[in-house]
Amino acid sequence: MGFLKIEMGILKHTWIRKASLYILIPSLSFLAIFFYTPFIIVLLYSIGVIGRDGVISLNPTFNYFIEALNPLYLRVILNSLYLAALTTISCLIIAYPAAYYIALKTSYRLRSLLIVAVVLPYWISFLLRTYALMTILSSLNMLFTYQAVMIGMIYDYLPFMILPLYVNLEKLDKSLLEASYTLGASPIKTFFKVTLPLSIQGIVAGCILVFVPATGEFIVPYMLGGISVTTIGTLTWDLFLKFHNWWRGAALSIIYIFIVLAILIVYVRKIGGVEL
Amino acid sequence: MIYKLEYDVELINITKKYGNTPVLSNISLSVRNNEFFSILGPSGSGKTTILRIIAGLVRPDDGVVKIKGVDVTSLPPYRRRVGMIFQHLALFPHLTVFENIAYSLRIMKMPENEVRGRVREYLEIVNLPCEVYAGRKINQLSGGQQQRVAIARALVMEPKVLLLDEPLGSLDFKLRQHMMLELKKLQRTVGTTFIYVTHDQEEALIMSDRIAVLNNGRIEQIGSPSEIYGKPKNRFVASFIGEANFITGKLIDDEVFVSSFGYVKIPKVNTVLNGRAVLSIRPERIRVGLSLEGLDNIYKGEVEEKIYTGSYVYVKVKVSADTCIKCLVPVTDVENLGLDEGMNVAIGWNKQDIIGIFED
Amino acid sequence: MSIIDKLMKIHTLSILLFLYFPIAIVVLSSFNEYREFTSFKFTTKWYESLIQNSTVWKAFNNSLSVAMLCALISVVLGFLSAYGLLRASTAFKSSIEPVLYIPIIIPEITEALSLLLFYNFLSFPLGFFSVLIGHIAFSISFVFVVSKARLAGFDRSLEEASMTLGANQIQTFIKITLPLSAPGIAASTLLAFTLSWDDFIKTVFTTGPGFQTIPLVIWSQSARGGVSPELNALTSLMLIISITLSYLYVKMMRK
Repeated sequence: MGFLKIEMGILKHTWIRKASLYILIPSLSFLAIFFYTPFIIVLLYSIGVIGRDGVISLNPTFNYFIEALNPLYLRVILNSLYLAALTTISCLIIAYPAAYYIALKTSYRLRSLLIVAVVLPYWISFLLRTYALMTILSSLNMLFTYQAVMIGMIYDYLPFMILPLYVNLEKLDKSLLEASYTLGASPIKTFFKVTLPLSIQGIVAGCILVFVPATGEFIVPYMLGGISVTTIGTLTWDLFLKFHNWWRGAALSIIYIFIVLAILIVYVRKIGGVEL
Repeated sequence: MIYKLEYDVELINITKKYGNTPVLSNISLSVRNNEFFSILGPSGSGKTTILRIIAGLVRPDDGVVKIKGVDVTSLPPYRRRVGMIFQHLALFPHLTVFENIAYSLRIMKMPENEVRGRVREYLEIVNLPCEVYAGRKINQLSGGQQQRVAIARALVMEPKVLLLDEPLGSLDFKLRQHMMLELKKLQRTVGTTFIYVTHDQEEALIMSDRIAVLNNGRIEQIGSPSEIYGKPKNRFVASFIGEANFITGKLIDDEVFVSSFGYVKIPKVNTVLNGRAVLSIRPERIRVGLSLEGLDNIYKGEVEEKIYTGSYVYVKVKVSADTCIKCLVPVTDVENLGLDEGMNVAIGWNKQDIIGIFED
Repeated sequence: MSIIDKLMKIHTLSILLFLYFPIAIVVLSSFNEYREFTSFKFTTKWYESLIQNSTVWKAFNNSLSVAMLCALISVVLGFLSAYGLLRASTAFKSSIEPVLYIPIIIPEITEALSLLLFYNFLSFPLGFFSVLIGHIAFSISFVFVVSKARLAGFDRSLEEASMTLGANQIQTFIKITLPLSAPGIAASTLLAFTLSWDDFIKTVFTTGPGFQTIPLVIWSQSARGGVSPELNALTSLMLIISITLSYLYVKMMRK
């Protein structure tokens, strides 16, 4: 009788051990169905395998890609990249001194307060913040200009740049700076020889966190730029929600994904690893 | 059929690899009922792994684990009724002292009034008055008090054996001394078999009935403290436990050893050691004086160094160009003889003071 | 070097000003009788008209239901996934983990439109469930990443101790792991709720006629009529809710 009990115990034990892997099944299946499968669907739309009214044809075509790469769209893509790059560089220049100041030049108490204050907007959605900016720009009659979009992009993305810079600078070993001073380097020299090189990781992280989403941004151009500013994001919006042109839209999205992946691969190759 | 249970825990040919690295190779040992058994070895020797295999937290690649005669190798830990004290105690921070100790009893579905009685009983055994400590949270206790809660928690379910994983490591010197005696007393009082893992030879020697010396996943020797100390089987055991001199030389025959400082009369050697060998003798077994007589082996030398450690002094005596022998001399003798560096002295020992002749 | 320090200080404070000024303006305007900033008279009439606005109420209910369901489902799935992978071998882990956190890296607009196409292909009705599914998909990833980080610091020997004391894996999970993970789970729930509550991009792509959440209301009205005091009031409310949720989240994570 005791033997049987032990046998049951072993079976139950093995079952429980495997169960810890089984509990992964619900989330994995959910993602497989509602995240990964849709991507395959996008691919199928973009090559025309899925046609009108959901009809499946087995003749893939590159027509939609050709359509999506017409000069007008190409210009839009380049403009989006340009806008994202401008945003990134501006955010970097503006954020770095602030992150530096908060990380290295303030007392502990003030630092926690300041960094919370700076990061808090990060928790507020783009929509709300862009609207808030809209109210001011509207009264200044600056709406629907490129400058407005630029200001909006910087306004929304600034916290995305400040945080990684701050995290990186805060971890800096201050005794390295002190060592540099004792070795005869002035604060400016120390900055360029010690601080800046050691903060490269933070700079790169911030740039990725800003540039990648910024290329696909559509809330800011739409709300603040209206018809005058077109980006990959606004184009996608139009294609999908206005014109219901699923096929060209799908092709454009695939092109966009390639751009994003290309950037990420360059990042991983050169710097290595994505820290979440 | 009467089955005489001699051994509470038996390990038979246990092997464990992590990847390609062998951690334990063919470990076999048997722990007797009501024994305080220690597994002693340097860091990385695999001693904690042995403990975790007994507990059921790790499955061996090969071999059998038996507890009180029953093969438990495939049994999960919660079916083995083996109590364990973890290195960092693993007390549940979200439960009070009482709830920590009552944990196993409640799993067993013991009626609540019995639970209260048992918890109270074991709190008393470990000297933590129930009224004061039962309701406290773990982080409100000192290190020593947390120790005792951990012990009470494991013992309250009356386990078949108690496993202890280097529990005294984080305590300061005086507290450790105190706890060693407490643990020994506790084991005797409660009557449960203790299997104690440590890298500290002092702990093992003071508390154990028997010790298994472990090195690189293999058992070097199992024996009582005096056996391990006085009759080490090999060089590793001799050097790991206590201090020892290792003198290289040659065996002339089975009763004579020659080294750079002369001939040494040794107890009869059974081993087939050809030529080079290492003689081992403990510092406290060597007599030091201005002149000596009446000993099997006496040599002249010069005091090279004195290392003062409190109640005794290590005196290093140079007996030949390349040999320096470490002797342990009580501080009173050092003072009476006026031993000082540079002095010519005589050192000596009898045949039976030698603890072993080993391979080179 | 004090001059440079002073400059940096001014710079930092200006940035803070820049970041909060628009938000302050919105909140203040929502209490302003007049539409222009030239004069100010305190009033709560914009909020009152909000409360009477049935579109806003419907949207509020929709936002709330989606967010609560999203939080519930993604926390359960995400946390269990993080826990399940704790004990996994490194090989297995490194192949499964990316599957669970890639949704965070992919731009939201891409996820949104792929779901739309998916629904379109299957003729899946657009409305409450299509939006909910989209929210859950990326919430699971966020919860997974946060739970994984919290569980990484979890002392495994506590679970081992529990098992030597006679509790099996399920009892150990309920009595030891869950209570000790409670702050992390609470934080994840808040996170999932906030992500869903504030979400705009995913929602706008996967929603159907007649189904609106608050962000959608704000968007459609600002795109059409631009700035309005009622919208200011609605935005201010959302701002306060957002800030409160994030404050609670940070507090939970500190524990």
